[in-house]
Amino acid sequence: MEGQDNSVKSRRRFLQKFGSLGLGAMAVSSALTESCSSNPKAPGSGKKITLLNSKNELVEVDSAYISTLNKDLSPNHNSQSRNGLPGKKFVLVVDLGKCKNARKCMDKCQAVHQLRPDQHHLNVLLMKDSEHTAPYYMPKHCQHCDNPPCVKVCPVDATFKRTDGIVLIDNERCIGCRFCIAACPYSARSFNWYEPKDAEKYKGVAYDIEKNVPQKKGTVTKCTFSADYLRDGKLPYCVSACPNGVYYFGNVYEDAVTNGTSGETVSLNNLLAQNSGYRLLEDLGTAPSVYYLPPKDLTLIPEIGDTQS
Amino acid sequence: MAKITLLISIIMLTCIPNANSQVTPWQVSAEDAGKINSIPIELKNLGIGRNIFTRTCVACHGAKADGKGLIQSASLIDETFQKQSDGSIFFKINAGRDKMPPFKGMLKEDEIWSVINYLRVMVNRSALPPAKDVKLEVSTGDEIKSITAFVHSADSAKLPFPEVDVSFYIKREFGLMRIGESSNLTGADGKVKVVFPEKIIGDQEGNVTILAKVENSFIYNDAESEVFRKWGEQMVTEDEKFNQRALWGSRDKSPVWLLLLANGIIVGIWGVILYIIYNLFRIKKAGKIFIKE
Amino acid sequence: MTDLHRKEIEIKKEQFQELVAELHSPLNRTGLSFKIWIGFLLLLMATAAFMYVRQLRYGLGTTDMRDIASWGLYIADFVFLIAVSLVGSLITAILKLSNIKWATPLTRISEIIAVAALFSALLIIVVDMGRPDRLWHIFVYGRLQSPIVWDILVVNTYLVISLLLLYIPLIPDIALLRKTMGHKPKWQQKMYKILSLGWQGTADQVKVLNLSLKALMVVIIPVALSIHTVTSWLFASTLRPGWDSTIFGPYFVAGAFMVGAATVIVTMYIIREAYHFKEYITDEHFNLMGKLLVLTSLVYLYFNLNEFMVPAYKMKSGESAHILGLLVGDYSLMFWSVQVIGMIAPIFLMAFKPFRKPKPMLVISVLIVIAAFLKRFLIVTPTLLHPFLPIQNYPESYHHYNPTFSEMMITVGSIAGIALVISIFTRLFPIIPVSETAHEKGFPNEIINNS
Repeated sequence: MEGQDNSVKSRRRFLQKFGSLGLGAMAVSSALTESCSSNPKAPGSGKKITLLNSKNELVEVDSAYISTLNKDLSPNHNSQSRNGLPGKKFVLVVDLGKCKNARKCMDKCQAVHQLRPDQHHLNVLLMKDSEHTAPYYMPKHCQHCDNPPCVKVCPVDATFKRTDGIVLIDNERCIGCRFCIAACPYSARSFNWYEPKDAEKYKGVAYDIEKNVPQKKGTVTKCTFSADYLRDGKLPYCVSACPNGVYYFGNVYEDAVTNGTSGETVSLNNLLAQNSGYRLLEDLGTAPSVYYLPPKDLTLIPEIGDTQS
Repeated sequence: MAKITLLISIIMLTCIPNANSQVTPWQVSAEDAGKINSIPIELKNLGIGRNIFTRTCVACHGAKADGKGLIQSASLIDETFQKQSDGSIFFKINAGRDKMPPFKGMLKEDEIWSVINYLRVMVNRSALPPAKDVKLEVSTGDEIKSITAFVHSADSAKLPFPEVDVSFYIKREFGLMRIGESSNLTGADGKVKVVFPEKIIGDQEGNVTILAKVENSFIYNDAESEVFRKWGEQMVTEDEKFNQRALWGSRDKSPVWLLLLANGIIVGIWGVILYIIYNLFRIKKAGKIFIKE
Repeated sequence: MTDLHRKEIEIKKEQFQELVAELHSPLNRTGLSFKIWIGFLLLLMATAAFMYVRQLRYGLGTTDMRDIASWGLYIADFVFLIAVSLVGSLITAILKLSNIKWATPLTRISEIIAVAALFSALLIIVVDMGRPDRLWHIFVYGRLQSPIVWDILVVNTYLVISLLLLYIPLIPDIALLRKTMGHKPKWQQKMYKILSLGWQGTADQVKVLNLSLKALMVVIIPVALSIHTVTSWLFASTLRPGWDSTIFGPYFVAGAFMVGAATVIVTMYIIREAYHFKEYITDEHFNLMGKLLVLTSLVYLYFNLNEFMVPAYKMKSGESAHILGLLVGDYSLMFWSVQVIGMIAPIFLMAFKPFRKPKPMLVISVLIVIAAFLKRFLIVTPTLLHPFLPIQNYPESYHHYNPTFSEMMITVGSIAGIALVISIFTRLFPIIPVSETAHEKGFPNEIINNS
């Protein structure tokens, strides 16, 4: 195909013009990795295209593997990521009565954030508060506290609190002292004890602080409230992955939360008032941004088995 | 490595029984199966069914009801499902099993029958008459904050449509918040009015976007219209709270008392240390003078 | 000047030279056993270095630390080494300021232990970091709100002060070495020359030196207390049951005085035996150090009572799982061994004079040091294994923490490093202060400075 040949040349010229390490090259290489990872067994079309990757090498790629990213990688938003989205403060409401331990949220979270199966940004726990109280499942995220013990102790500003309430970690700053893990009363943080999962696949992908991907060996990782999605006005990965309507997510300032499953939007204050919402370990004074609705009218009573409390 | 392999195999083992549990047939007694659907399949009832379906069923069964929602579930459009009696389906929705929650108490009987009607129509869409185009006009009353929707024909005649269910919403960060009643039917003049509720928070000026929609109807095609009014309460943000000096603040936001304390101690202690190091030079100098003498 | 007087001076001079020769004898030794000892220590350190390179290559996954027990042996080792380093201030500053003379021969031993332990502590904390390549972030992005930054400030300050406190009393001794060590290699003589600062023992020099020493001894006490207090705050500043304690500062300081005194006893025993210093490090020294150890142990016992008795009485939720784990649960064997063998039994035994003889004191002190290390382990690990929320959806191994071989070897290496520094120091400098001892034995200044 003649046209294709031309376009490749012009693309190459464009890349060379903007420097070998230009953001364009980065975008292309990450487009390659993303498309490959999402579709590893797609049959090739047989047509090869030559591209310049981030290491300034020309590589041949089957055209079937190329897809354009709709995400704008060029001015990387990492520099603004420390400030938070103006006029917003995010809140998550977890309706414990609806959780059936489907774990779709956990799966989605681990897939998106490049986590090993034993690394949890989000962990669904089987709770039993006392002998005669009923057991229930409790999804536990980072609580994005307003008085965050983890942020207090960070020696290098690697983990920080944004004005929109989100606590993030910059894994290009983190020194791996793990003080934040020790300080977190919710055990919400995880560490990359080894080379992260699929490290090869994520090589060359530009670091996104709001997604904390690619993960790096020797650094701490944690729930980001899917800050990358929130920037685009989308609900967090876990919230929209839940089939049971457990999660409500929204902006505290406008007193509204949206259910990730049904898409229904309700008043946060009404929801909490009508269902006696509470926060986890309130007496510690951490002031979480995550609220729980008590496990009422459980349709599936969990059995206490191998996982001990 | 061994740990990971072990872990993966544990996970796989725990997954298998779940996948198999769907296989056993779901018995429904003859009495339940014979129960008669009390809601006739009429166009206006189908809208209610579609509403409920979207709200409660789509998550698992998918928008096409093919069982490909957020989890793998039964297809509601294949032959095995559709050949059941309305009574059998009613029983299963009511009782629930495994991951399918019992809807008894969550949905009214009429609502369940309406969903069943909608499911029947889903596989037989072509049998329905084509829906009409409508136009929606929104006006507001400012004295008592209220919104009036006027539903009329799409042509220039503007014939009012009565008995149309209009949904009213306020735009929020991640979705639309419903206001008004659960069903707002237009009158003979094609109009329906809802009162803007109190304690709605707008943007920092108090502006809100209000939406009126005709949706999920089988008689009319979807239509919507929106207005922008300064009716809400002004949004109060706490950005300042998160920019103050605090122990959890960034390095340039450390509390003043901490700065004073830490720097005071550092200056005090290191002052002594530097003085002692200076003394070492004095000792050296004193030695040199002694030799000269 | 009368003949008698002159003769007296001659005799004194001879006596002084004898003293110097004796105290300098370790520097002139050439035995094989020392080389074997150094070789052994180097081997341990090389193993540790190899394990560390492996850890750098594969990540901290080579340890048994995981998301639940995220701190382990390294942090326990760090706290232990910081505790040991506190002894420098105890023996040198506190005893000296209270005019206790008998401790003079032990000052240098305790100071070199302090300095070596501090270096080792700084290294082990880097070993514990996930990204040691980013150590510079602490200095560029350091955040004053973090107890880690306080700890780094205070540990480095203490290191500088300890080095000065080791060095300043050493100046007159180095001046002496310049005169007596003429047969040593060039570099060594040059080192003595530079370090002696042209010390002549003039009135001016003596005055400035004494003034500096006084100032140092005063300033080291608050700094020494704060290094261990701040180290305890690494734990006490969190909300976790077992760490969330208001007495952690004094509790750690009391424990540090105890293990520090025990470490000095072990070291002085070894030095006394290796270099035949029975005349300088006498049985009476062991007796008195034993009494001091009883005192510090009693203080520590008092804090232990507070730390465990009070929460055990209340059994607050969260706290109870931790405290039961220690008293009757997974860690009860270790806990009671440490408390009984490492604290209660020694107090009883040392109350009797026969147990304050060198050999029993060595055994008791070794037990105290080992128990003190395990105690630090018990402070770090069980708390992490009892978080507020249940440990679920992790592999079984996450419920326990058993240090790996690699971790243990690196920890052993950190201890071997201390032994190495002390051993080499005794071959380069007099481990028992020469001029101070001479002063205390009544030799006049002219003899000390001019012979």
